[in-house]
Amino acid sequence: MSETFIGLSGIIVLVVSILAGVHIVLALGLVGTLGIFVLAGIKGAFSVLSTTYFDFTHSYHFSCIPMFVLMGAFAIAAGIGQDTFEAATKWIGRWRGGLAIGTIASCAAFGAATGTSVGTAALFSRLALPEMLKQGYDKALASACVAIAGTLAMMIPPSALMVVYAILTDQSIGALLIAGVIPGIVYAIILSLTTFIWVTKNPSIAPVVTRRFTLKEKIYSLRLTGPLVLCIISIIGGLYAGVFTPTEAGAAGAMMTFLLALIKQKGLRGINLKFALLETVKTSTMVFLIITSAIVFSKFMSLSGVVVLLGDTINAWQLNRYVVWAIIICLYLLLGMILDCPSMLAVSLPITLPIMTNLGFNPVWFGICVVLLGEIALITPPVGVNCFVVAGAASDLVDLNDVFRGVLPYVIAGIVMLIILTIFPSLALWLPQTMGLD
Amino acid sequence: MKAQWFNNVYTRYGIFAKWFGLGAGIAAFLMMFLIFADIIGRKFFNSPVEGAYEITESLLTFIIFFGVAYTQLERSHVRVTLFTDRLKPKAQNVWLTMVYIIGFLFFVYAAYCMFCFAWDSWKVREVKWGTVEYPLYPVKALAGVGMLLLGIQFLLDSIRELFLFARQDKETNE
Repeated sequence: MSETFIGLSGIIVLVVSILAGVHIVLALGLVGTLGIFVLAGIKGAFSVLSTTYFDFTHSYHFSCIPMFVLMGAFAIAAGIGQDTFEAATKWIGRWRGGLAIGTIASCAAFGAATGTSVGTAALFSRLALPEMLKQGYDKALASACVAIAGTLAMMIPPSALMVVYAILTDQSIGALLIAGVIPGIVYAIILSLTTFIWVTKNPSIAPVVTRRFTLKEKIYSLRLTGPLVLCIISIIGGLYAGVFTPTEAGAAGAMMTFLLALIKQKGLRGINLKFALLETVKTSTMVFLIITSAIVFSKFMSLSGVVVLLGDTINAWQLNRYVVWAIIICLYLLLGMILDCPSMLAVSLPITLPIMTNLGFNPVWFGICVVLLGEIALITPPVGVNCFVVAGAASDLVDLNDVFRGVLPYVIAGIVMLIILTIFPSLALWLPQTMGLD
Repeated sequence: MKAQWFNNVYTRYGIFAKWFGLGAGIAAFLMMFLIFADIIGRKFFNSPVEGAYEITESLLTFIIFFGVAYTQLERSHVRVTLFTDRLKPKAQNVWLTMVYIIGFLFFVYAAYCMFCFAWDSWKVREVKWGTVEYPLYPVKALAGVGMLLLGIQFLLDSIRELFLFARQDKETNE
C-alpha cells in the first residue's frame, strides 16, 4: 500500500466520519493520529500527540483568540449594538430599504468591535428585525439581511476566524487582520447595494419609513456610536501603525469594551460576568481544539505526500489556475453547506493551501477569499448557521423558511465580491504591503 | 436505581467541569488585565510587566484545557447532525454511544501522551525561559489533566446514551 493511497483513504475516512456525526475535533485528531501510526509507527503518533496539543495552546501570539472572543462578549453586554442601530436608523432609516441598509452598516461596525458573526446576528435579530417588520418590511428581506450582515464580523478586524486561518497556514496574524479591512468595507457596500437594488425593483417589500428625525436628534444619536468608533480606530489603527500586536489589540479592545459595559450597565451586576467568561471559554476551547486537531491531520497529510500528488496531478493536467480556483470555490461552497467556518478551514486548508500557493496565489489573499466563502457558507442551506440563529432568536416573528427564502440575492452578492477580489487582489493585499507584512 | 445513581454522578461531574470552566474564564479575565497593564506600563512608563509574555502563554494553556470538558458538557464541540438526525432515536443512541467510546479512548490516550511529555519535562526540570523563569512541567501536566477530564466526560456521555437507549427500549416494550 503506497503512502499516497493511505493519505487519500484518510481523506475519505475523515469526510465519512464527519458526515456520520463524529465530532470534528475527534474526526480530525483520530484520523490524523491513525494515519501517522500507519505511516510512521507508534512512536511517530505518540510524538505528534504529546507535543501538538500543548505547543499550539502555549503561545502568546495565539492568545488573541480568547481576547477577541472576550471583547465580543463584553461588547454585547455593553449594549453597543443598540446604540449603533439607533444612530443608523436616525440617519438613513427614511431611505427606501434604509432600515435594512442601516442594519448592514450597524452590523459592520458592531461586528468590527466584536468579531462574532453569530453574536451579531443574534443581537440584531432581536434589535433590528422587529423594527423592520413593524415598518412593513418583507420577512424574507428583513431576516436574510440580518443573517448576512452578521457575517461581516468575520471579515472586518478583529476577526477570530482570520486568526484561525493564520495559525493553520502559518501566516502573519497582523497581515491577515489588516488585509480584511478594505474587502470588509467593500463587501458591506456591495451588500447595501444589493439590498437597494432588491427594494427598488420590489418597492412593496420595504415601505419608506414615515417618521422624521430633526438634525439635532440625528447629531445627538452619534454620541452613542462614539465609544464604538474609538474602539475600532484604536484596534485597527494600533495594528496598522505597529503600536499593538494582535494579542495586545485584543486585550486592549476587551478592556475598553469591559469599561464601556461597566459604565453603561452601572456596575458589574448588569454585565453578567460569569456568563461572559463561560461563553469566552466555550468558544475559545472549541476553536483551539479544532485548530490543534487539524494540525495533527495536516501532519498526516504532509507525511503521506497526498498534497504533492494532488499538486502534481493538477500540473500534469495543465489546468488554468483560475479553473482550479473555480473548482476550489465550488468545493468550499459545498463544504460550507455542511460545516461551520472553523471546521471548514481546518478540514480543507491542509489540502487546498499548498495547491493554491503552488499555482502562484498569495496565501494572505487566499485567506480573505476563504473567509468570504465562510461568510457565504453561514447563510447557505442546509447548515446556514446564521439563518438558524436569526430564526431561533426571533422565532415568534420569522421561521427558517423566511430566512432561506431571502438569502439568494446575498449569496450572489458574495460571489460577485469573490470575483472582484479575484480580479483585484490588491484590495486585500495593498494594506499589508504598505505595512511591509506581505 | 442505577440510572438515578448515574444521573447523580453525571450531574456532580458536570458541576466539577463547570468549575474548571469558570477557572478557565477567570484565567481569560486575568490575561486581559495582564496584557493591558503590560501595554500601559511599556508605552507610557517604559516599564513593562515582567513576565507578562511568558505568563500569558501559560494562561492560554489553562484557558483551553480547563475548558475542554465543560465545552463538551455544553455540547459546544461541533458535529454535523444532518444525517444522524434522520436515524431513529434508538439508533442514534447506539451510534452516539460508539462515537463517545471512541472519543473516550482517543482523548485518554492523548492525555497519556501529554502526561509522558510532562514527565520528560519534569525529569530535566524544564524551565520556561524569559524575563521570569518558572517550571514548565506543571503547565504541561495540567494540560494533560484537562485532556483526561475531556476523556472522562466522553465516557460519561457514552454511558448516558446507553441509559437513554435502555429507557426508550423499555418504553417501546411497554
